[in-house]
Amino acid sequence: MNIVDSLIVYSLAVIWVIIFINVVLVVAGYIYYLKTLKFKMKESLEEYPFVSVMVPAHNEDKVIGKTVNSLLNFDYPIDKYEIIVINDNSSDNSAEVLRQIQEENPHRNLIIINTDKVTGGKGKSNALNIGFNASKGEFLAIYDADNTPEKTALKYLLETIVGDSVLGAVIGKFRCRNKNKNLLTRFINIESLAFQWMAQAGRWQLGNLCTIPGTNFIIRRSLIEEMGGWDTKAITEDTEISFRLYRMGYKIKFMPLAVTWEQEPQTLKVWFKQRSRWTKGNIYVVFKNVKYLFLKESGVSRFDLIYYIMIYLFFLSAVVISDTLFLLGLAQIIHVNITGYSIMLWVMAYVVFALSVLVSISVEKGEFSISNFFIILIMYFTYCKLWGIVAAMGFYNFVKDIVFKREVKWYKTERF
Amino acid sequence: MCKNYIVKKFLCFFTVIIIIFGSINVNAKENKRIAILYDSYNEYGSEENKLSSIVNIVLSSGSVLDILKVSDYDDRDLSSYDSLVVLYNETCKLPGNIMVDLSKYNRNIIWIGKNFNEFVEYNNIVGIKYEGTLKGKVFLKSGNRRYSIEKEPEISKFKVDAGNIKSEFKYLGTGSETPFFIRYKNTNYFPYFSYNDMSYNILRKQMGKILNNDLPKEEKRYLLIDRVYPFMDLKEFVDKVDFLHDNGITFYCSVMPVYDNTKFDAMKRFAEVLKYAQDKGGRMVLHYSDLFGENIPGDRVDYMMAAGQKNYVDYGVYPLALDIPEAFLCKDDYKNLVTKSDTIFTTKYEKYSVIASKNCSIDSFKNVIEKVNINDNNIENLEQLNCNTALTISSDLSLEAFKKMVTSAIKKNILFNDVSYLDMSLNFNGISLKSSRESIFLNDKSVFEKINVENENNKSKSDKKADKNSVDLTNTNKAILKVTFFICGLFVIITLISFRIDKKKYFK
Repeated sequence: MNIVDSLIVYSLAVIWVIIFINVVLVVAGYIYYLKTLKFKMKESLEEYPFVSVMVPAHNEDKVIGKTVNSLLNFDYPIDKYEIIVINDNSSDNSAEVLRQIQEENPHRNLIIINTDKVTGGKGKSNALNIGFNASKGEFLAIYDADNTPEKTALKYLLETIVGDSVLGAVIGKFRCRNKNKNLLTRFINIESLAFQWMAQAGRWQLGNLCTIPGTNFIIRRSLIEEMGGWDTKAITEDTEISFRLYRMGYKIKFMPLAVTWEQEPQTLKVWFKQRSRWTKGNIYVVFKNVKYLFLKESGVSRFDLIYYIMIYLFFLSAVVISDTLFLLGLAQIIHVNITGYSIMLWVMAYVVFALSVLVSISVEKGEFSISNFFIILIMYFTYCKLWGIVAAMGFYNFVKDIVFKREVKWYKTERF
Repeated sequence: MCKNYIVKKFLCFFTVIIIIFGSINVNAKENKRIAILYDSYNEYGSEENKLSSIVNIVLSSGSVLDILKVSDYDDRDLSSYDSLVVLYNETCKLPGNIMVDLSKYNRNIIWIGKNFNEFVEYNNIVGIKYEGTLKGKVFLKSGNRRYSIEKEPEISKFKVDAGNIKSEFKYLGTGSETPFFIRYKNTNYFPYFSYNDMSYNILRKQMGKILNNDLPKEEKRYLLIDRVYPFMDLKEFVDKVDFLHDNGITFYCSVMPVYDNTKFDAMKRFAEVLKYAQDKGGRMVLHYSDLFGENIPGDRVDYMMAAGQKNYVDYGVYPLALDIPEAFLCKDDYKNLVTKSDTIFTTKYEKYSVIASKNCSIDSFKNVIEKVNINDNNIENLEQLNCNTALTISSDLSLEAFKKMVTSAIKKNILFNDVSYLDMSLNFNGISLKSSRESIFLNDKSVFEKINVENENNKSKSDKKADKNSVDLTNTNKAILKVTFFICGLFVIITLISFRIDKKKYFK
């Protein structure tokens, strides 16, 4: 067996292990979905703790107005929550837009914090820390600047977290607001549904595990205090905080009835930048937490860590290797000594992928359609392959950051 | 009403199906009948046997062939032939009866060589005259107009209107001679060809199109080790077989018939080596006996080859076709021998090419494969051959030279076809051998299991080493496939459940 054969066996093994793990997650996610059909949320709560809703924003004048107006419309007593918008070192009209909304709503708890490059401009984590310092809520709800949550989102999140003291945070569901804009947004829509119903719901069902997605979530203030705030070095502060919560013995629950709608990238360039930033961030978090993999006290977070390592390191490398070897084999540059595997194996991998995504989106009203079915069919050969490039770029940038000691900045997603 | 509608729908559907399938021609393929009318097999002063080349082309089309000599031409009904090939190597006046019969013939005529002008004039084909070649230029006359077609490296096509005649002239070829052909209605005229240059390939290609109704035919290339006999270097032969097997090349061995001293150790060793070659992807072909000559009657050669065949079969070696010179085809006393196989490997320029001294008929063959000896002179042009070819290397060639020859052929993009895909049969005195993709059948019983068992025992060292080193994922593959089929079924069920729930959500 030469190096080529070894690489093929490695990539086959890894890919199929991940496929089977995802199958299990899909089934588990579906079981959780069936449970959520029986959820009966309360019209009104016995008590309404004070919540600080924080929105970090950087050059978001196109979308911030709509977002803040949605937050002002929460089905939650207006004197029981405050909205803190951290307008972090924006060079556009964000400050003006926010000031206008503030003037239109003088009796609302709407706090605008404008920072400059001295006091701010150091990324989302730093902005959240600034907002945290100004907040007074017992619970903190975080929303991205492009989100328009549904009226009941905050209430449902809060109802869930107060119902179980083991929960350190509760995450809601995010949907794609501009899903019908073009093929890319339709891919993203399907991807986000599959991720939430498979990875989030499935992991919650199996191991009470979830990862904070960065928006539409609620967390206990005391835990942030205990952690000392958000990690300003982390680009994906949401993943980072998730691991810390688990190490502290808390859980993060997925509450799909709390829904927010966000704007997704509409061009490949913007999408690419966003995803490679996420990948870089997640790789940072994995590297930071890998030392906890072998500590028993890390608890269930070890499984999450293993899952992330499998996806970001093993699975993506296996996909890149197998695609490369396939092309080299076609060009007859390499020779393979492996026998007994047939093209049916790849066909079945593709079929399982398509069906698992189909199952994931079938739980959303109106998403189980012929057009989405065909989009899933082509997704494997297009959108999924782009992820390989994204992963490679993310890893490369991560290494560059370490080597050149680059400072974390806002790499914000362009809005439309 | 609803029921009638459904019935009507079904009727329409089945009617459409019947029309579609009815239009597909399901008639059994009938062998075409072709006649070659010729004056002499070669041009005066040339050794090239042109008749033999034409015979090979026609037989390759799977046709039944009648070879008619002009000097022995009797009045016959040419209309019974699907196509006519006229070969004139000498300039002469055409006999009147031939001219009349050819003029009445209204199917495809392929005219090769000389005297086409006579045919044109006799049939009052106005204006077209062929004036011959002049250093690469071709002059054609049509009425008062004269056309010259310059020699070009690529095919060029001209359409000429001359009175009521519309003709198409095609010019091809790059040699100093100017091979080309003219098509006039049902007549295709090739003024020149030679086996020694590319004009032969062009002729073969065009004739193949005409004889096969323009159906494309894929030419096959096989590797053949020629004249394999007991007294060659057996160890080197095994090394050659291993070399071919390691390079994924299947091959033919043209084995000499052995009918004396068949119980000697030398024969046993030889048979073991041939069985080893069989196991390694080789198929056997029975070479004609060296005792063939002008004075040896055909039934004697038949008898010797039958004995040789039986001897091989007794040892578990299975020759499946005949390797014979073309001369066998026209000899009456050899007809019994040549019809014993549906596949023949023919040699072109041996001592005994087709020299039909009188009219003769040749039955069709399922496969006609021309043996072409690979050498340094022709290796550049091998991939351009337009016929089924067995690229031949003598068994006497040294191992190094053999490897070099095969490697050169591969580098010249020669792809050797898999011999197991060629179905062949050979019947000698109650010993019936047939081959298919799956197996070899001796009197309708598969010998494959026997070969497999012997295969395991005869594995070469390199095979066993390769077995140890290669990774076999067959069992893993099967297990994964079973699991994924189950998963797909489960997902389909889940999807259906979701569909029902989704519908209920919409109607809430």
